[in-house]
Amino acid sequence: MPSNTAKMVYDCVHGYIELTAQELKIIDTVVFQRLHNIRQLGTGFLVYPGATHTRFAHSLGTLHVMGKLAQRLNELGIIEDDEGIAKLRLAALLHDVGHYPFSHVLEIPTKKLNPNGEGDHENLSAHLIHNSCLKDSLDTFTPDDISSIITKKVVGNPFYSLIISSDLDVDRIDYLMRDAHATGVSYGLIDLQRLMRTITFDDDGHLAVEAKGRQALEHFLMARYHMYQTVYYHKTVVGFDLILQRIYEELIRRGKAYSYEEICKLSDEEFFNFNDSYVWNLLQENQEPPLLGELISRFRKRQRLKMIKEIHGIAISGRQEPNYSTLSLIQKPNNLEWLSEQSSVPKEWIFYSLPEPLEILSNAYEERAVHVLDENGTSIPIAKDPHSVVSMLYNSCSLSARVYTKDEYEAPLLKGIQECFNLD
Amino acid sequence: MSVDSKFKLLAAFKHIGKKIDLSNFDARLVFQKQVYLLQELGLKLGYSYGWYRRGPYSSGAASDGFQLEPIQDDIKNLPELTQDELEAAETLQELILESGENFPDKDEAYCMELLGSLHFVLKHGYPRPASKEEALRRFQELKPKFGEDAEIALELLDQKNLI
Repeated sequence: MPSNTAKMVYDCVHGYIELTAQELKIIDTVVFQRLHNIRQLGTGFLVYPGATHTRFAHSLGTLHVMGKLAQRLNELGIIEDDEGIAKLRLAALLHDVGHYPFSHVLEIPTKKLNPNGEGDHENLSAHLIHNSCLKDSLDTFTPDDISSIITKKVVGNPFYSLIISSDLDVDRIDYLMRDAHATGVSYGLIDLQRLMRTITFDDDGHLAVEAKGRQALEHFLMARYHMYQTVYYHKTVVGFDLILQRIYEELIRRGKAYSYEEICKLSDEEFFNFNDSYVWNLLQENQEPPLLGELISRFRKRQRLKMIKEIHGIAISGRQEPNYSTLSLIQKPNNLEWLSEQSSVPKEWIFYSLPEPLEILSNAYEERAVHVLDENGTSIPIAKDPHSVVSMLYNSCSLSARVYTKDEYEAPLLKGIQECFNLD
Repeated sequence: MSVDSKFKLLAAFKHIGKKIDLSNFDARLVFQKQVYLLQELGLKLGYSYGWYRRGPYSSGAASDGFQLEPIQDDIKNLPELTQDELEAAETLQELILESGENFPDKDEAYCMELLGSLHFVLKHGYPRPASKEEALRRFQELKPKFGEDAEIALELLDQKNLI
């Protein structure tokens, strides 16, 4: 933990989190305080009533986990000094500062309508670090020192990117623990101590754990899998995400909600107000019939869409799973119009979700795959580790393709799907 | 990443007669680097690339690639690309061909890792190099296996106005 602790904050997941004066300075900026008003799980609270926790708490938690990891890297000689530790802690603290209202939900339509296709929240975080009051709060560090870690632009030792984004990164560790705690779902329990004591890097720069951390790692990977199945891909949560995305997309098109270009030009005060309340206000002010008003009313009153078709299950090399591939054709250009014509259901009332197949393990040789170091120091991807139970699940993935509409269109849309895609 | 952009990527690949192949690590590496270069050549796809062991990598590109791979042959009505976008795809094709000619005893994964990684160090990497020479020196320290091939790659990137 930092030698220059200025304050301790009690966190429901990690206990006391120690903060330095410099970190407090950043936390006290309006741009950071905004995170108090962004729910970590977007629309998740509509299914898990306790899921009202915020990006603010998650950011502090990620800093805490990064602090532990940085300490470990310092012991291993990978990070040499307190300055290196401080830099990593700041990057963790600020990694989500550019998150959109309702977290990932509104990122999708905003990116979709940006002609450049840009709009990742990491890039928005980097933009804010360079162009807001955050810039003046970094003391000895330059904006690039911090933003390059968040956007994974540090060339040289790949550990900078791996600890921010990999099968075992600090962001993921905190959000799994925190989301499990808030939802009450018990799958997200993780042996953080064991992971932090055994995490290391092999000679080729792969993120790894020592053999005695194998079970903790296996449990972490399975926890992640179950959290996705139970919480993040919950059919009702996904249904509300789809409604809100369609509403927000329409509001941007009508010039009533911020486009990405406009977001980048907001003053600090304006950006402070770009939060979940901003969206709730938009919903209240724009209940124009017929379609937009009905969608907004449904969302505000928690009236679910009907999920009428789901391809769901575990597949080996699932990308070849025939029914999933067939239903995924719904995303083809013009296919939605075709389905709408065939079924006589307005295309505005056809919603689909095709998340990437969820792998329990990354491909063994993928850049972000985590390794295990055996007693002799030999490094092997956990997916290929003969001592790992999880490796038996290598190449298997969970698939989930869903189609939603409102109740009155259920029968014609189902019939249309059968006719267009030959799916029963 | 919008649905339209994902299909723009597929349209660009089809324009130069390429298929998305993610069947093994080298194939995925080639895909990653080619999408990276395509984007740098002006096809706006919105992928964020970070630096990993084998150079620039985007989880968004990987995700879209995996979604497109099994259905790519079934898609007929792809979005029309602008003249600039078509030229970006054609320049990528030239780069692929010319790197093969310049490094005849090397495979495509070698060439793409070299071109993609060198470009990333030059244009996006941190710490930012003060000059091409410094970037080249830094790259050769980071990836010594490429040796003097990096100098030829730098010329190729230069010829295609990528640096």
